[in-house]
Parts: sequence; C-alpha cells; structure tokens
Amino acid sequence: MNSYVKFFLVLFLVVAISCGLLALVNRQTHPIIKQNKALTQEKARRDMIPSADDFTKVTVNDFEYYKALDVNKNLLGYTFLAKQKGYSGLIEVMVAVNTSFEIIRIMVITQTETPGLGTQVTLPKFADMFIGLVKSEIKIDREGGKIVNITGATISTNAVTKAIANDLQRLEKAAQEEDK
Amino acid sequence: MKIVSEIIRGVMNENPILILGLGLCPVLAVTTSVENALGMGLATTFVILCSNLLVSLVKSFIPDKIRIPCYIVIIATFTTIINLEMAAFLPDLHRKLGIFIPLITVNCMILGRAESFASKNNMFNSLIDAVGMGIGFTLSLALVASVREILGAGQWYGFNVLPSAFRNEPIIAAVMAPGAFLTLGFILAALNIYKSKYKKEG
Repeated sequence: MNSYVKFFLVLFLVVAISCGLLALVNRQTHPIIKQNKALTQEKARRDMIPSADDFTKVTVNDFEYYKALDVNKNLLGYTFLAKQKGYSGLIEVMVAVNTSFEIIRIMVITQTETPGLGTQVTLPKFADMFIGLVKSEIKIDREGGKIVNITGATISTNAVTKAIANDLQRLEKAAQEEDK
Repeated sequence: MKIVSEIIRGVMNENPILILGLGLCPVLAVTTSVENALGMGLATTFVILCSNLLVSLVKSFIPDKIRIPCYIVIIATFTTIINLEMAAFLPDLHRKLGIFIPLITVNCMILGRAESFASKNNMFNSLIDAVGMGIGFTLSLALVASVREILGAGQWYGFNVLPSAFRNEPIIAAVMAPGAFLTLGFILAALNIYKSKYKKEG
C-alpha cells in the first residue's frame, strides 16, 4: 500500500511541475501567437478581396464579420471566419462573399486534420468547389448541395461545409439587422 | 576525445534512423523539403536534449514501476514548450510541420534514449548521447529530404539546383508518401551494401 502512495506522489509532483512550467511558457507566447494569427487573417482577407481598400470589423449578436470597402467606401462584400470541430480539432475557414452573398473564395486557416486525408480540404480542388455558391447550395451533394465529398475525408469535408453554411446564414441575418 | 567519439557514435554506428530504425514516422512525413527536415530535426534535438538531461537528473527519485508515464510527461512537456515557441516565433515553419511537432511526444527515439541510456547514465553522458542522437537524427532527415526535394522539385533548401526543364516537370512521386518509403529504402540498401563490403575487406 505504501508504495502506491509514493507512486501517486511522484506522478503528482512530475505533472504539477510540468503544468507550472507550461503555464509560464504559455503566458509568454500566448500574446505573440494571437498577434501572428491576427496578421494571418488580415493577410487572408486582403488576398481574397484584393480590390478592397479597408476592412471594417462589425459585431452583431456575438457574430463577428468584416465589411470590405473600396476607396470610395462602397461595400464590396464581407469576410468572416467560420469555425467547426473537424475530425481531430478545430477547423477555421476564412470565407469571402460578395454583396449578394455568393462565395468569392474560401481559405482554410487552421486545421489539424489527418495528413493526406483530411488535409485535402486545404487544397484548391476542394476550395474551388465553393466559388460562386449561395447558401442553399452549400451542402454535400447527397443532401442536395453542390459539394462533393472527398473520399476518406467525409468528416473533414462535412465540417468545413457545415461551418460555412451555418456562419453564412448568421452573416446574412447579421447584415440585414445592421442595415435596419 | 571520448566526447567526440560518443557524438560520432550517435551519427554513425548508432544512427537512430539508419541503424537503430527509431523515429521513422517523422522521417517519412516531413522530409518533403530540406527546410522542413532541418526544422523538425532541430525541434526534436531540443526535446531529446532536455528530456535526456532531466531523466538522468531525476532517475533515482522515480520508482521503476511508474518510470514510463513520468518520462512521457517530461517529453510531452518539452514538446509542448517547443510547439508554443515555434508557433510564436517561427509561424510559417510551424504551419508547415503542423501536427508533426506535437507528435514529437511519441517519437520512439526520444523515449528509447530516455529508457535505454539516460535512465542508466549520468547527466553529462546523457547530454552527449542526446547531442549525438540529435545530430544523427537531423542529418538523416536532411539526407532523405535532399534526395526527395532534388528529385521532386529540382531544388535544394529552396534553391534551384536542376535546370528549369526538369523543374517544370519534376518527379512528383518523390515528394509524395511512396517517395519517402522508396528513398529511405534505397538509402538503407546502399548503406547495407557498403557495410557488408567494408566488413569483408576489413
């Protein structure tokens, strides 16, 4: 019995020290990682709507999106970050739509899917399927949409598709509300 | 002199990848370019240096029966540290290596050295062992990556080394998964031919 108490104490100590150390490192790196992420997203927004001069952040009912404006402050479209849990972690997709809510482009920003299978959602052949689609078409083909499942990566494909469809709906609602 | 020969042992006679056959997963996965290979090699070297040192330091406090979970926690801690630091300071490389950085935790080379070397030797020898293993691992990764990058892209470390006629139509299979197996297989075969000849003549 005694040795079990010792096992417990040693493991507890090892894990406690480890957690303390990681908390320190996290405190140091967290703001920098956050800043990197913001920069990546800013760059993605500019790549997707290159004619935009400025992006204005709007938050309606907890939903965040950006309005893309040209030099004369005319509205060109919107971008937002759609999120959904994939096969092995969070997938974040940057989506750009025009003023009639047709998709201009999508770009997977964050993913930890299985290399070679789920990671195919980052490839142009997948991302290009979304170009020009409207909300009702963003479904898997067998549910009546226009997205063809990637063999071996059903969960990842579904996650990206669902993320975009859900958040596009939120965007349409939010944009309407903002117009009022 | 002993330090040098100990380091050379990790690179040559006990090369973790080419001789011991440990840690093959990253060898196959991240060797599509020399830059990725060096990044992965250095990250792994950092983890093995820290884990060998620490395992050797605490070996007498850790009861035999729970040594493996303790080692795993130690290795996972250092892997998480390097993962966070890379995300903060080398975001591009971090994005390319992706899931393989967290997977350093389960690299059997690191646990293998903790179990078979660091837990039986003093801190200094464990550090030297880790240096040798780290260099051996990084060089092997770079070797496989060199072959694959030259054949698959006509480049080496991002520099053009083959004429553009080749670069426009490279052997793409070399940077795909089968290319990794083939390259490693050919390197191991060449090494074995060399070794058997060397033995006969010697």
